Amino acid sequence: MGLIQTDAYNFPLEGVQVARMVFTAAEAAAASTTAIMAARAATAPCHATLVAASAETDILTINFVATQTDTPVGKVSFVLDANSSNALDVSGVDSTGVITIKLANDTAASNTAALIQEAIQGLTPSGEGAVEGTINGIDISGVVCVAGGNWDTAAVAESTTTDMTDVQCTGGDGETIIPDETVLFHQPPCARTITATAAGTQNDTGAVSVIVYGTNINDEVISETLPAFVVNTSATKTGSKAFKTITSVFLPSHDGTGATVSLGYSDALGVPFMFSKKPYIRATLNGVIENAPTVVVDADGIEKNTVDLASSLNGTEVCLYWLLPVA
Amino acid sequence: MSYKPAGLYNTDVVTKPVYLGKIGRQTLSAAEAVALDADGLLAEEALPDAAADYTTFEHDMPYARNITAVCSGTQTGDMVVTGTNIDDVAITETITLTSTDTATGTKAFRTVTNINLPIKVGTETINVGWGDKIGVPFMLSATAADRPIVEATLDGVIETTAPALTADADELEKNLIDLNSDLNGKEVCIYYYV
Repeated sequence: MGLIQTDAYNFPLEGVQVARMVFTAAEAAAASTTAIMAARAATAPCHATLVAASAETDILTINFVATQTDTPVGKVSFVLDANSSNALDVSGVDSTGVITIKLANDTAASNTAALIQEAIQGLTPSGEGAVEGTINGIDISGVVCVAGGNWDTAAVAESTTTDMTDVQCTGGDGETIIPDETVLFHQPPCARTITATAAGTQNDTGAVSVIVYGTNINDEVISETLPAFVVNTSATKTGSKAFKTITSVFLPSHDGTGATVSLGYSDALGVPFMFSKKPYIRATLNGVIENAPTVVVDADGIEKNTVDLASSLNGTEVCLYWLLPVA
Repeated sequence: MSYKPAGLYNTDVVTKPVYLGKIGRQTLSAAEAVALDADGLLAEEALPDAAADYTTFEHDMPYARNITAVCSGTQTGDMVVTGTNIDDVAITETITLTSTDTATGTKAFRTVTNINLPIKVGTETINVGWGDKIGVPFMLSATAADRPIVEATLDGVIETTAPALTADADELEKNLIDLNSDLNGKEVCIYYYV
């Protein structure tokens, strides 16, 4: 059955057969950016909070740009003090990572969050080999300072009730989410590629990646680091692996807590083959033949073999037809 | 070509089963599906003082493909190509040259063993190579309705526009298929529904 005789005696053709895979209407549900997990606020980025003497609510939050490799925790700390003169003075020691902020002792307008942010970003710490914008190996050129309470109009000295001599950085760890009573996951309707959508305050979105854990179409455990978001940009990022189930996700901290992330699935369908090259394939959507689908193949990871119809899925039956060599 | 149904498939009408067919695949590897090459056989070869045979070529034929020839100047003589078809049967083709316009052969040569060039007119040279048309292992009916359905993929992507078939019920080497896309050194698969 493997060969088909032709009119050329020395040139039989390879026999192929038709294989069909059916996705029910439910399995072929339309893509959704929120179907797996609704929008969830980002956890706080790595930050330090300074408190002024004027009131415990007059605070300055110094946020670091979200990063997944170099964390400022344990490497950068702050000292808040009143200067002996009426001028803002920001200095740092490269070897220890200590940044000292001395506030103008009479004019709060000299100590605004914007001015302190500018001073930190342009800081060249003391120490051999120190460079502008970096301290103790941590990039400070992108820190964002946010005033709380009446900081910008009242802060001229450090808090007398909260110790400001060694303020450590905290946060930025992100969170691992598993489905439970508080965070509901809906599973993909079939093996589908996963999407993560950043929304909320656009300028709080960091260049970070969601990590997805689950199983593939063959019930094997897989994980995927989705493409990173673009800083300060609300957009959807789509993975390349088809997940049949999701068991947990890691949601990284962003640059601010105003960012949100939701999870969903795309139109790309996982298929039960590991193709070394693109096969012949036809597809129908609700019984109508489609233009050629987009096919992604991978000979090693079954979850990387996907088919994306030319039309958007719409909750009607999909059939895929392959022409495959006769076994 | 003639073929028999592979069997019957029951329908919902007991007395009306449908015929089962077969699907055959002809695969050209990336090397076999290399782009057309106008001087793949002879490159800027000076036409001879008298008709002469040439048996040494720039490359072997990559697959059963049609022959093309173009001259640098006026030349309307006949070029005779000798070789074998897709079934390894010896064949020849006489191609009338059309000066600086490309003359395109109508037979698919799997191998070329000899090219006889006509006497020169002046100082013209000639390029001989292969085109995009691929040899088919069937002698197809002149009647389109009697031919199998044919589809092709180029690098795994189904050709949106069906390939063009040239049919000849008597001479195998005159049965050609020409994809709508140009061949580009990517794998080609041709599917015959017979």
